Amino acid sequence: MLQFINVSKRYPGGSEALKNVSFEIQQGEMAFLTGHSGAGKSTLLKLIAVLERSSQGQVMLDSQNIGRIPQRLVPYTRRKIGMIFQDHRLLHNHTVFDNVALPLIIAGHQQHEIKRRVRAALDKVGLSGKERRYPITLSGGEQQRIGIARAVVNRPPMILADEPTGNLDPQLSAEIMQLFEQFNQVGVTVLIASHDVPLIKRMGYRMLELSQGELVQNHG
Amino acid sequence: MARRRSNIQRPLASFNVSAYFRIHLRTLFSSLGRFSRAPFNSMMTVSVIAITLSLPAGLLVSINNLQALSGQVDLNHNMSIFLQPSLTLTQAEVLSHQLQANDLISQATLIDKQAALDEFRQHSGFNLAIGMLEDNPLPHVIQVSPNTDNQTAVKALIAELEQHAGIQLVQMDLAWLERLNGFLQIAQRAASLITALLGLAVLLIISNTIRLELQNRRDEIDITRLVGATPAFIMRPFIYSGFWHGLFGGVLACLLVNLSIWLIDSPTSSLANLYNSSFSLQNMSFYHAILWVIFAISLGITGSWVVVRRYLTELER
Ligand SMILES: Nc1ncnc2c1ncn2[C@@H]1O[C@H](COP(=O)(O)OP(=O)(O)OP(=O)(O)O)[C@@H](O)[C@H]1O
Ligand SMILES: [Mg+2]
Repeated sequence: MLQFINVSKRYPGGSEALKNVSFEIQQGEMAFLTGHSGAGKSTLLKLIAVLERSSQGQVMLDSQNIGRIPQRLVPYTRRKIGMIFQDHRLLHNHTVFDNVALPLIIAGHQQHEIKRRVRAALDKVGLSGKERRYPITLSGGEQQRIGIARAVVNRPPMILADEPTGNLDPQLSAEIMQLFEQFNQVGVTVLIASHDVPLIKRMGYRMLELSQGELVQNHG
Repeated sequence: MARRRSNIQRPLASFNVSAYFRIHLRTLFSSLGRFSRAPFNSMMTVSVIAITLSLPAGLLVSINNLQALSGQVDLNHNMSIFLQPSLTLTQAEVLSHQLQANDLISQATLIDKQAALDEFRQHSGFNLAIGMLEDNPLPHVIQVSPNTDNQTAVKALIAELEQHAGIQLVQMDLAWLERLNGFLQIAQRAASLITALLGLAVLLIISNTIRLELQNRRDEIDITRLVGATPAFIMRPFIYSGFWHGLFGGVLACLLVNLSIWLIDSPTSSLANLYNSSFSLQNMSFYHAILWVIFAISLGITGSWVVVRRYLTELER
Protein backbone atom coordinates (compact mmCIF):
# COMPACT_ATOMS: atom_id res chain seq x y z
CA MET A 1 0.00 0.00 0.00
CA LEU A 2 2.66 2.48 1.12
CA GLN A 3 6.34 2.18 0.39
CA PHE A 4 9.28 4.52 1.02
CA ILE A 5 12.36 3.72 -1.08
CA ASN A 6 15.56 5.56 -0.03
CA VAL A 7 13.65 8.74 0.64
CA SER A 8 15.49 11.91 1.66
CA LYS A 9 13.97 15.30 2.34
CA ARG A 10 15.98 18.48 2.50
CA TYR A 11 14.09 21.70 3.25
CA PRO A 12 15.00 24.85 1.35
CA GLY A 13 16.62 26.20 4.53
CA GLY A 14 19.22 23.46 4.26
CA SER A 15 18.26 21.14 7.14
CA GLU A 16 17.95 17.49 6.13
CA ALA A 17 14.72 16.28 7.79
CA LEU A 18 14.80 12.72 6.40
CA LYS A 19 17.84 10.70 5.35
CA ASN A 20 17.57 7.65 3.14
CA VAL A 21 14.42 6.26 4.73
CA SER A 22 13.00 2.96 3.46
CA PHE A 23 10.04 0.98 4.81
CA GLU A 24 6.77 -0.54 3.71
CA ILE A 25 3.30 -0.62 5.22
CA GLN A 26 0.79 -3.24 4.07
CA GLN A 27 -2.80 -2.53 3.30
CA GLY A 28 -4.91 -2.84 6.44
CA GLU A 29 -1.89 -2.52 8.73
CA MET A 30 -1.64 -0.23 11.76
CA ALA A 31 1.74 1.28 12.67
CA PHE A 32 3.29 3.96 14.87
CA LEU A 33 5.98 6.47 14.09
CA THR A 34 8.04 7.78 17.01
CA GLY A 35 11.17 9.77 17.60
CA HIS A 36 12.44 12.82 19.41
CA SER A 37 11.15 16.27 18.59
CA GLY A 38 12.56 17.31 15.24
CA ALA A 39 13.28 13.71 14.23
CA GLY A 40 11.22 14.11 11.05
CA LYS A 41 7.87 12.51 11.92
CA SER A 42 5.68 15.32 10.61
CA THR A 43 7.87 15.60 7.53
CA LEU A 44 7.38 11.92 6.77
CA LEU A 45 3.59 12.23 7.02
CA LYS A 46 3.62 15.38 4.89
CA LEU A 47 5.41 13.49 2.12
CA ILE A 48 2.59 10.94 2.07
CA ALA A 49 -0.10 13.65 1.86
CA VAL A 50 2.03 15.48 -0.78
CA LEU A 51 2.16 18.56 1.44
CA GLU A 52 5.89 18.36 0.77
CA ARG A 53 7.79 16.58 -1.98
CA SER A 54 10.76 14.27 -1.41
CA SER A 55 14.18 15.51 -2.49
CA GLN A 56 15.36 11.99 -3.34
CA GLY A 57 13.90 8.51 -3.49
CA GLN A 58 10.38 7.34 -4.15
CA VAL A 59 7.21 7.55 -2.09
CA MET A 60 4.92 4.89 -3.51
CA LEU A 61 1.21 4.91 -2.70
CA ASP A 62 -0.84 2.23 -4.45
CA SER A 63 2.20 1.68 -6.72
CA GLN A 64 2.21 5.31 -7.82
CA ASN A 65 5.21 7.55 -7.13
CA ILE A 66 3.35 10.37 -5.43
CA GLY A 67 6.53 12.36 -4.94
CA ARG A 68 6.49 13.01 -8.68
CA ILE A 69 2.82 13.31 -9.63
CA PRO A 70 1.78 16.55 -11.37
CA GLN A 71 0.32 19.25 -9.17
CA ARG A 72 -3.16 18.97 -10.71
CA LEU A 73 -3.48 15.35 -9.48
CA VAL A 74 -2.38 16.14 -5.93
CA PRO A 75 -5.91 16.93 -4.66
CA TYR A 76 -7.13 13.51 -5.77
CA THR A 77 -4.25 11.81 -3.97
CA ARG A 78 -5.08 13.75 -0.80
CA ARG A 79 -8.66 12.51 -0.96
CA LYS A 80 -7.36 8.94 -0.61
CA ILE A 81 -5.78 9.91 2.69
CA GLY A 82 -7.52 11.05 5.84
CA MET A 83 -5.05 13.29 7.65
CA ILE A 84 -5.27 14.39 11.27
CA PHE A 85 -3.10 17.34 12.18
CA GLN A 86 -1.07 18.19 15.27
CA ASP A 87 -2.87 21.55 15.46
CA HIS A 88 -6.34 20.28 14.36
CA ARG A 89 -6.61 22.67 11.38
CA LEU A 90 -10.34 23.33 11.86
CA LEU A 91 -12.44 26.09 10.31
CA HIS A 92 -13.24 28.17 13.37
CA ASN A 93 -16.01 30.24 11.85
CA HIS A 94 -17.88 27.14 10.70
CA THR A 95 -19.91 24.66 12.69
CA VAL A 96 -18.77 21.17 13.62
CA PHE A 97 -21.09 19.83 10.92
CA ASP A 98 -19.56 22.02 8.19
CA ASN A 99 -16.04 21.10 9.28
CA VAL A 100 -16.72 17.41 9.01
CA ALA A 101 -18.71 17.82 5.77
CA LEU A 102 -15.88 19.65 4.00
CA PRO A 103 -14.27 16.62 2.26
CA LEU A 104 -17.71 15.48 1.07
CA ILE A 105 -18.61 18.93 -0.26
CA ILE A 106 -15.31 19.04 -2.11
CA ALA A 107 -16.06 15.64 -3.65
CA GLY A 108 -19.50 16.90 -4.71
CA HIS A 109 -21.78 14.56 -2.77
CA GLN A 110 -25.54 15.02 -2.54
CA GLN A 111 -26.92 16.94 0.41
CA HIS A 112 -28.73 14.00 2.00
CA GLU A 113 -25.69 11.77 1.52
CA ILE A 114 -23.54 14.41 3.22
CA LYS A 115 -25.94 14.63 6.17
CA ARG A 116 -26.05 10.88 6.57
CA ARG A 117 -22.29 10.42 6.43
CA VAL A 118 -21.46 13.36 8.69
CA ARG A 119 -23.92 12.08 11.33
CA ALA A 120 -22.37 8.62 11.11
CA ALA A 121 -18.82 10.00 11.46
CA LEU A 122 -19.74 12.24 14.40
CA ASP A 123 -21.54 9.36 16.03
CA LYS A 124 -18.45 7.21 15.60
CA VAL A 125 -16.17 9.69 17.39
CA GLY A 126 -18.75 10.39 20.11
CA LEU A 127 -19.74 13.90 19.10
CA SER A 128 -23.34 13.34 18.04
CA GLY A 129 -25.59 16.20 19.09
CA LYS A 130 -22.80 18.76 18.71
CA GLU A 131 -23.25 19.38 14.98
CA ARG A 132 -24.37 22.98 15.42
CA ARG A 133 -21.61 23.96 17.86
CA TYR A 134 -18.51 25.89 16.85
CA PRO A 135 -15.11 24.19 17.39
CA ILE A 136 -13.96 26.93 19.78
CA THR A 137 -16.77 26.03 22.19
CA LEU A 138 -15.50 22.44 22.53
CA SER A 139 -12.63 20.98 24.58
CA GLY A 140 -9.23 20.11 23.08
CA GLY A 141 -10.09 16.43 23.02
CA GLU A 142 -13.41 17.11 21.32
CA GLN A 143 -11.71 19.33 18.72
CA GLN A 144 -9.29 16.49 18.02
CA ARG A 145 -12.31 14.26 17.42
CA ILE A 146 -13.76 16.74 14.93
CA GLY A 147 -10.48 16.41 13.04
CA ILE A 148 -10.76 12.61 13.20
CA ALA A 149 -14.38 12.66 12.00
CA ARG A 150 -13.34 14.88 9.10
CA ALA A 151 -10.50 12.53 8.22
CA VAL A 152 -12.71 9.43 8.08
CA VAL A 153 -15.96 10.88 6.70
CA ASN A 154 -14.87 10.30 3.11
CA ARG A 155 -13.95 6.67 3.96
CA PRO A 156 -10.34 6.95 2.81
CA PRO A 157 -8.33 3.73 2.59
CA MET A 158 -5.59 5.27 4.73
CA ILE A 159 -5.46 7.48 7.82
CA LEU A 160 -2.44 9.50 8.89
CA ALA A 161 -2.43 11.10 12.33
CA ASP A 162 0.19 13.56 13.58
CA GLU A 163 0.31 13.57 17.39
CA PRO A 164 -3.41 12.92 17.76
CA THR A 165 -3.06 12.66 21.55
CA GLY A 166 -0.57 15.52 21.82
CA ASN A 167 -1.93 17.30 24.87
CA LEU A 168 -4.67 15.00 26.09
CA ASP A 169 -4.75 13.22 29.45
CA PRO A 170 -3.94 9.46 29.50
CA GLN A 171 -7.61 8.47 29.74
CA LEU A 172 -8.57 10.51 26.65
CA SER A 173 -5.44 9.43 24.78
CA ALA A 174 -6.37 5.78 25.27
CA GLU A 175 -9.90 6.47 24.00
CA ILE A 176 -8.60 8.18 20.87
CA MET A 177 -6.21 5.29 20.22
CA GLN A 178 -9.09 2.86 20.57
CA LEU A 179 -10.93 4.82 17.93
CA PHE A 180 -8.04 4.33 15.52
CA GLU A 181 -7.98 0.62 16.34
CA GLN A 182 -11.66 0.43 15.41
CA PHE A 183 -11.03 2.05 12.06
CA ASN A 184 -8.15 -0.35 11.51
CA GLN A 185 -10.40 -3.29 12.32
CA VAL A 186 -12.68 -2.42 9.38
CA GLY A 187 -9.73 -2.41 7.01
CA VAL A 188 -8.27 1.08 7.06
CA THR A 189 -4.49 1.41 6.96
CA VAL A 190 -3.42 3.59 9.90
CA LEU A 191 -0.12 5.39 10.52
CA ILE A 192 0.18 7.46 13.71
CA ALA A 193 3.07 9.73 14.71
CA SER A 194 3.37 9.97 18.50
CA HIS A 195 5.76 10.79 21.35
CA ASP A 196 3.89 8.62 23.76
CA VAL A 197 6.18 5.55 23.69
CA PRO A 198 4.72 3.81 26.80
CA LEU A 199 1.19 3.97 25.34
CA ILE A 200 2.39 2.70 21.95
CA LYS A 201 4.34 -0.13 23.56
CA ARG A 202 1.24 -1.18 25.51
CA MET A 203 -0.79 -1.33 22.33
CA GLY A 204 1.70 -3.66 20.70
CA TYR A 205 1.64 -2.55 17.08
CA ARG A 206 4.57 -2.15 14.76
CA MET A 207 6.79 0.83 15.61
CA LEU A 208 9.00 2.88 13.30
CA GLU A 209 11.49 5.06 15.13
CA LEU A 210 13.16 8.06 13.59
CA SER A 211 16.26 9.74 14.95
CA GLN A 212 17.83 12.78 13.28
CA GLY A 213 15.88 11.94 10.13
CA GLU A 214 17.10 8.34 9.97
CA LEU A 215 14.99 5.26 10.50
CA VAL A 216 16.69 3.55 13.45
CA GLN A 217 14.09 0.93 14.38
CA ASN A 218 11.44 -0.86 12.39
CA HIS A 219 9.76 -3.72 14.22
CA GLY A 220 6.52 -4.79 15.75
CA MET B 1 -18.37 2.08 8.02
CA ALA B 2 -18.21 -1.63 7.27
CA ARG B 3 -18.30 -1.05 3.53
CA ARG B 4 -15.21 1.08 3.71
CA ARG B 5 -12.93 -1.16 1.72
CA SER B 6 -15.23 -1.19 -1.31
CA ASN B 7 -15.53 2.54 -1.20
CA ILE B 8 -12.17 3.72 -2.35
CA GLN B 9 -12.22 7.22 -3.79
CA ARG B 10 -14.01 7.53 -7.11
CA PRO B 11 -11.50 7.90 -9.93
CA LEU B 12 -11.33 10.99 -12.11
CA ALA B 13 -12.94 9.25 -15.06
CA SER B 14 -16.39 8.96 -13.50
CA PHE B 15 -16.74 12.73 -13.41
CA ASN B 16 -20.26 13.45 -12.26
CA VAL B 17 -22.06 16.17 -14.20
CA SER B 18 -24.93 16.72 -11.81
CA ALA B 19 -22.52 16.92 -8.90
CA TYR B 20 -20.58 19.50 -10.85
CA PHE B 21 -23.62 21.74 -11.31
CA ARG B 22 -24.73 21.18 -7.74
CA ILE B 23 -21.38 22.46 -6.48
CA HIS B 24 -21.60 25.44 -8.82
CA LEU B 25 -25.09 26.39 -7.72
CA ARG B 26 -24.28 25.97 -4.06
CA THR B 27 -21.15 28.09 -4.35
CA LEU B 28 -22.97 30.72 -6.37
CA PHE B 29 -25.53 31.22 -3.67
CA SER B 30 -23.23 30.81 -0.71
CA SER B 31 -21.05 33.52 -2.20
CA LEU B 32 -24.17 35.67 -2.41
CA GLY B 33 -24.81 34.80 1.24
CA ARG B 34 -21.34 35.97 2.16
CA PHE B 35 -22.11 39.12 0.20
CA SER B 36 -25.25 39.82 2.21
CA ARG B 37 -23.54 39.06 5.51
CA ALA B 38 -21.25 42.05 5.07
CA PRO B 39 -23.85 44.36 3.52
CA PHE B 40 -22.11 47.62 4.32
CA ASN B 41 -18.74 46.70 2.83
CA SER B 42 -20.34 45.06 -0.17
CA MET B 43 -22.60 48.02 -0.83
CA MET B 44 -19.67 50.42 -0.60
CA THR B 45 -17.67 48.47 -3.15
CA VAL B 46 -20.69 48.00 -5.41
CA SER B 47 -21.42 51.73 -5.24
CA VAL B 48 -17.87 52.65 -6.18
CA ILE B 49 -18.08 50.24 -9.12
CA ALA B 50 -21.49 51.60 -10.12
CA ILE B 51 -20.43 55.23 -10.01
CA THR B 52 -17.27 54.49 -11.96
CA LEU B 53 -19.24 52.62 -14.61
CA SER B 54 -22.06 55.15 -14.77
CA LEU B 55 -19.70 57.86 -16.03
CA PRO B 56 -18.85 56.24 -19.35
CA ALA B 57 -22.37 54.81 -19.63
CA GLY B 58 -23.85 58.29 -19.16
CA LEU B 59 -21.47 59.69 -21.73
CA LEU B 60 -22.44 57.04 -24.26
CA VAL B 61 -26.14 57.64 -23.64
CA SER B 62 -25.65 61.40 -24.09
CA ILE B 63 -23.89 60.81 -27.39
CA ASN B 64 -26.72 58.52 -28.50
CA ASN B 65 -29.21 61.22 -27.61
CA LEU B 66 -27.35 63.89 -29.55
CA GLN B 67 -27.09 61.54 -32.50
CA ALA B 68 -30.84 60.98 -32.32
CA LEU B 69 -31.31 64.75 -32.26
CA SER B 70 -29.14 65.34 -35.31
CA GLY B 71 -30.84 62.40 -37.03
CA GLN B 72 -34.24 64.07 -36.58
CA VAL B 73 -33.21 66.96 -38.79
CA ASP B 74 -32.72 66.14 -42.47
CA LEU B 75 -29.55 67.55 -43.75
CA ASN B 76 -30.23 70.24 -46.37
CA HIS B 77 -28.55 73.42 -47.46
CA ASN B 78 -31.36 75.83 -46.62
CA MET B 79 -30.17 79.27 -45.64
CA SER B 80 -31.55 82.43 -44.09
CA ILE B 81 -30.76 85.74 -45.71
CA PHE B 82 -30.90 88.66 -43.30
CA LEU B 83 -31.60 91.92 -45.13
CA GLN B 84 -30.29 95.35 -44.21
CA PRO B 85 -32.59 96.82 -41.50
CA SER B 86 -33.10 99.92 -43.60
CA LEU B 87 -34.85 97.98 -46.38
CA THR B 88 -38.59 98.54 -46.64
CA LEU B 89 -41.05 95.72 -47.11
CA THR B 90 -41.51 96.57 -50.80
CA GLN B 91 -37.76 96.57 -51.43
CA ALA B 92 -37.55 93.24 -49.65
CA GLU B 93 -40.32 91.80 -51.82
CA VAL B 94 -38.48 92.89 -54.96
CA LEU B 95 -35.30 91.26 -53.73
CA SER B 96 -37.17 88.11 -52.90
CA HIS B 97 -38.55 87.90 -56.44
CA GLN B 98 -35.08 88.45 -57.86
CA LEU B 99 -33.76 85.57 -55.83
CA GLN B 100 -36.63 83.34 -56.87
CA ALA B 101 -35.58 83.98 -60.47
CA ASN B 102 -32.01 82.81 -59.79
CA ASP B 103 -31.23 79.44 -61.43
CA LEU B 104 -29.50 78.11 -58.38
CA ILE B 105 -32.47 78.76 -56.11
CA SER B 106 -35.52 76.56 -56.05
CA GLN B 107 -37.49 78.56 -53.55
CA ALA B 108 -37.26 81.95 -51.83
CA THR B 109 -39.75 82.93 -49.11
CA LEU B 110 -39.86 86.35 -47.55
CA ILE B 111 -40.53 86.57 -43.84
CA ASP B 112 -41.92 89.97 -42.99
CA LYS B 113 -40.22 91.35 -39.86
CA GLN B 114 -43.54 92.34 -38.28
CA ALA B 115 -44.94 88.81 -38.74
CA ALA B 116 -41.73 87.37 -37.34
CA LEU B 117 -41.96 89.55 -34.25
CA ASP B 118 -45.58 88.53 -33.65
CA GLU B 119 -44.73 84.88 -33.93
CA PHE B 120 -41.78 85.25 -31.60
CA ARG B 121 -43.96 87.06 -29.11
CA GLN B 122 -46.48 84.24 -29.16
CA HIS B 123 -44.08 81.37 -28.65
CA SER B 124 -41.08 82.61 -26.79
CA GLY B 125 -42.61 83.79 -23.55
CA PHE B 126 -40.69 87.08 -23.84
CA ASN B 127 -44.00 88.83 -24.35
CA LEU B 128 -43.43 91.54 -21.77
CA ALA B 129 -39.86 92.31 -22.74
CA ILE B 130 -40.82 92.58 -26.41
CA GLY B 131 -43.67 94.89 -25.55
CA MET B 132 -41.18 97.30 -24.03
CA LEU B 133 -39.21 97.67 -27.29
CA GLU B 134 -39.91 100.79 -29.27
CA ASP B 135 -38.69 99.52 -32.63
CA ASN B 136 -38.88 96.09 -34.10
CA PRO B 137 -35.29 94.87 -33.79
CA LEU B 138 -35.74 92.11 -36.39
CA PRO B 139 -34.73 92.56 -40.04
CA HIS B 140 -36.68 91.11 -42.94
CA VAL B 141 -35.52 87.62 -43.73
CA ILE B 142 -35.67 85.64 -46.94
CA GLN B 143 -35.47 81.87 -46.57
CA VAL B 144 -33.83 80.24 -49.53
CA SER B 145 -33.61 76.60 -50.61
CA PRO B 146 -30.81 76.07 -53.12
CA ASN B 147 -31.38 73.93 -56.19
CA THR B 148 -28.28 71.86 -55.56
CA ASP B 149 -26.64 69.74 -52.88
CA ASN B 150 -23.23 70.45 -54.29
CA GLN B 151 -21.10 71.93 -51.53
CA THR B 152 -19.01 74.23 -53.77
CA ALA B 153 -22.02 75.48 -55.72
CA VAL B 154 -23.74 76.35 -52.44
CA LYS B 155 -20.60 78.15 -51.22
CA ALA B 156 -20.41 80.13 -54.46
CA LEU B 157 -24.07 81.07 -54.11
CA ILE B 158 -23.49 82.33 -50.60
CA ALA B 159 -20.50 84.40 -51.71
CA GLU B 160 -22.54 85.88 -54.54
CA LEU B 161 -25.45 86.74 -52.26
CA GLU B 162 -23.21 88.35 -49.67
CA GLN B 163 -22.03 90.81 -52.33
CA HIS B 164 -25.57 92.18 -52.70
CA ALA B 165 -26.06 95.67 -51.20
CA GLY B 166 -29.41 94.86 -49.59
CA ILE B 167 -28.12 91.74 -47.84
CA GLN B 168 -26.50 91.96 -44.44
CA LEU B 169 -25.84 88.30 -43.64
CA VAL B 170 -26.30 84.88 -45.18
CA GLN B 171 -26.53 82.02 -42.72
CA MET B 172 -26.63 78.31 -43.45
CA ASP B 173 -29.44 76.95 -41.31
CA LEU B 174 -27.73 73.66 -40.59
CA ALA B 175 -24.10 74.63 -40.36
CA TRP B 176 -24.30 73.90 -36.66
CA LEU B 177 -25.50 70.38 -37.44
CA GLU B 178 -22.35 69.57 -39.38
CA ARG B 179 -20.31 70.94 -36.54
CA LEU B 180 -22.33 68.85 -34.08
CA ASN B 181 -21.73 65.72 -36.10
CA GLY B 182 -18.04 66.42 -36.18
CA PHE B 183 -18.07 66.99 -32.46
CA LEU B 184 -19.99 63.77 -31.86
CA GLN B 185 -17.35 61.77 -33.68
CA ILE B 186 -14.68 63.17 -31.42
CA ALA B 187 -16.88 62.60 -28.38
CA GLN B 188 -17.37 58.99 -29.38
CA ARG B 189 -13.61 58.46 -29.54
CA ALA B 190 -13.23 60.10 -26.16
CA ALA B 191 -16.03 57.97 -24.73
CA SER B 192 -14.33 54.76 -25.88
CA LEU B 193 -11.12 55.89 -24.26
CA ILE B 194 -12.88 56.82 -21.02
CA THR B 195 -14.75 53.50 -21.04
CA ALA B 196 -11.47 51.65 -21.37
CA LEU B 197 -9.81 53.64 -18.59
CA LEU B 198 -12.69 53.43 -16.14
CA GLY B 199 -13.19 49.75 -17.05
CA LEU B 200 -9.59 49.23 -16.00
CA ALA B 201 -10.33 51.12 -12.78
CA VAL B 202 -13.25 48.78 -12.06
CA LEU B 203 -11.03 45.79 -12.79
CA LEU B 204 -8.57 47.08 -10.18
CA ILE B 205 -11.30 47.80 -7.63
CA ILE B 206 -12.64 44.27 -7.96
CA SER B 207 -9.17 42.71 -7.87
CA ASN B 208 -8.42 44.58 -4.70
CA THR B 209 -11.70 43.55 -3.08
CA ILE B 210 -11.09 39.91 -3.94
CA ARG B 211 -7.52 40.15 -2.67
CA LEU B 212 -8.80 41.33 0.73
CA GLU B 213 -11.33 38.51 0.73
CA LEU B 214 -8.54 36.04 -0.03
CA GLN B 215 -6.49 37.34 2.85
CA ASN B 216 -9.42 37.07 5.23
CA ARG B 217 -10.03 33.49 4.21
CA ARG B 218 -6.41 32.34 4.04
CA ASP B 219 -6.92 29.65 6.72
CA GLU B 220 -10.02 28.39 5.02
CA ILE B 221 -8.14 28.07 1.74
CA ASP B 222 -5.24 26.24 3.39
CA ILE B 223 -7.55 23.79 5.10
CA THR B 224 -9.66 23.03 2.06
CA ARG B 225 -6.44 22.37 0.13
CA LEU B 226 -5.29 19.99 2.87
CA VAL B 227 -8.42 17.87 2.52
CA GLY B 228 -8.13 17.62 -1.25
CA ALA B 229 -9.83 20.63 -2.83
CA THR B 230 -8.88 21.31 -6.43
CA PRO B 231 -7.82 24.85 -7.44
CA ALA B 232 -11.11 25.14 -9.35
CA PHE B 233 -13.06 24.43 -6.17
CA ILE B 234 -11.09 27.03 -4.21
CA MET B 235 -11.37 29.63 -6.95
CA ARG B 236 -15.10 29.25 -7.49
CA PRO B 237 -16.47 31.29 -4.56
CA PHE B 238 -14.10 34.15 -5.36
CA ILE B 239 -14.98 34.15 -9.05
CA TYR B 240 -18.66 34.21 -8.07
CA SER B 241 -17.97 37.04 -5.68
CA GLY B 242 -16.46 38.91 -8.62
CA PHE B 243 -19.55 37.99 -10.64
CA TRP B 244 -21.92 39.44 -8.01
CA HIS B 245 -19.87 42.62 -7.66
CA GLY B 246 -19.97 43.07 -11.44
CA LEU B 247 -23.68 42.26 -11.71
CA PHE B 248 -24.80 44.59 -8.92
CA GLY B 249 -22.34 47.31 -9.95
CA GLY B 250 -23.51 47.12 -13.57
CA VAL B 251 -27.21 47.15 -12.75
CA LEU B 252 -26.77 50.02 -10.30
CA ALA B 253 -24.76 51.97 -12.89
CA CYS B 254 -27.63 51.63 -15.40
CA LEU B 255 -30.11 52.76 -12.76
CA LEU B 256 -27.93 55.77 -11.94
CA VAL B 257 -27.76 56.74 -15.61
CA ASN B 258 -31.51 56.47 -16.08
CA LEU B 259 -32.12 58.36 -12.86
CA SER B 260 -29.94 61.20 -14.11
CA ILE B 261 -31.76 61.21 -17.45
CA TRP B 262 -35.06 61.34 -15.64
CA LEU B 263 -33.81 64.28 -13.58
CA ILE B 264 -32.75 66.36 -16.58
CA ASP B 265 -35.48 65.21 -18.97
CA SER B 266 -38.13 67.72 -17.99
CA PRO B 267 -35.89 70.80 -18.29
CA THR B 268 -34.68 69.37 -21.63
CA SER B 269 -38.21 68.96 -22.94
CA SER B 270 -39.16 72.55 -22.08
CA LEU B 271 -35.99 73.76 -23.72
CA ALA B 272 -36.85 71.70 -26.82
CA ASN B 273 -40.34 73.18 -26.78
CA LEU B 274 -38.80 76.58 -26.98
CA TYR B 275 -37.24 75.53 -30.29
CA ASN B 276 -40.52 74.08 -31.54
CA SER B 277 -39.14 70.56 -31.14
CA SER B 278 -40.76 67.56 -29.53
CA PHE B 279 -37.32 66.23 -28.66
CA SER B 280 -37.05 64.41 -25.35
CA LEU B 281 -34.17 62.44 -23.85
CA GLN B 282 -34.01 58.71 -24.45
CA ASN B 283 -33.26 56.35 -21.56
CA MET B 284 -30.49 53.83 -21.86
CA SER B 285 -32.05 51.20 -24.12
CA PHE B 286 -32.68 47.75 -22.67
CA TYR B 287 -30.22 46.30 -25.15
CA HIS B 288 -27.49 48.74 -24.12
CA ALA B 289 -28.22 48.18 -20.45
CA ILE B 290 -27.82 44.42 -20.92
CA LEU B 291 -24.55 44.95 -22.78
CA TRP B 292 -23.34 47.25 -20.04
CA VAL B 293 -24.18 44.73 -17.30
CA ILE B 294 -22.43 41.98 -19.25
CA PHE B 295 -19.41 44.26 -19.55
CA ALA B 296 -19.46 44.82 -15.77
CA ILE B 297 -19.80 41.11 -15.06
CA SER B 298 -16.92 40.23 -17.32
CA LEU B 299 -14.78 42.82 -15.54
CA GLY B 300 -15.77 41.23 -12.21
CA ILE B 301 -14.97 37.72 -13.33
CA THR B 302 -11.70 38.69 -14.99
CA GLY B 303 -10.54 40.74 -12.02
CA SER B 304 -11.20 37.99 -9.50
CA TRP B 305 -9.89 35.22 -11.74
CA VAL B 306 -6.52 36.90 -12.20
CA VAL B 307 -6.06 37.55 -8.49
CA VAL B 308 -7.10 34.09 -7.25
CA ARG B 309 -5.15 32.29 -9.98
CA ARG B 310 -2.02 34.19 -9.03
CA TYR B 311 -2.54 33.50 -5.34
CA LEU B 312 -2.96 29.75 -5.88
CA THR B 313 -0.01 29.52 -8.24
CA GLU B 314 2.13 31.07 -5.54
CA LEU B 315 0.82 28.59 -2.95
CA GLU B 316 1.57 25.60 -5.14
CA ARG B 317 5.14 26.58 -5.67
N1 LIG C 1 9.02 23.98 6.54
C1 LIG C 1 10.25 23.72 7.04
N2 LIG C 1 11.31 24.41 6.59
C2 LIG C 1 12.54 24.15 7.04
N3 LIG C 1 12.82 23.21 7.94
C3 LIG C 1 11.80 22.47 8.44
C4 LIG C 1 10.47 22.70 8.00
N4 LIG C 1 9.65 21.81 8.65
C5 LIG C 1 10.47 21.10 9.43
N5 LIG C 1 11.75 21.45 9.32
C6 LIG C 1 12.88 20.89 9.99
O1 LIG C 1 12.89 19.50 9.71
C7 LIG C 1 13.21 18.74 10.87
C8 LIG C 1 12.10 17.73 11.15
O2 LIG C 1 10.90 18.42 11.47
P1 LIG C 1 9.56 17.66 11.80
O3 LIG C 1 8.52 18.69 11.95
O4 LIG C 1 9.34 16.65 10.75
O5 LIG C 1 9.87 16.97 13.17
P2 LIG C 1 8.89 16.15 14.14
O6 LIG C 1 9.50 14.83 14.32
O7 LIG C 1 7.51 16.22 13.62
O8 LIG C 1 8.98 17.01 15.46
P3 LIG C 1 7.87 17.24 16.60
O9 LIG C 1 7.81 15.98 17.39
O10 LIG C 1 8.40 18.36 17.40
O11 LIG C 1 6.60 17.56 15.89
C9 LIG C 1 13.40 19.74 11.99
O12 LIG C 1 14.76 19.95 12.15
C10 LIG C 1 12.75 21.01 11.48
O13 LIG C 1 13.44 22.13 11.95
MG1 LIG D 1 5.66 17.09 14.27
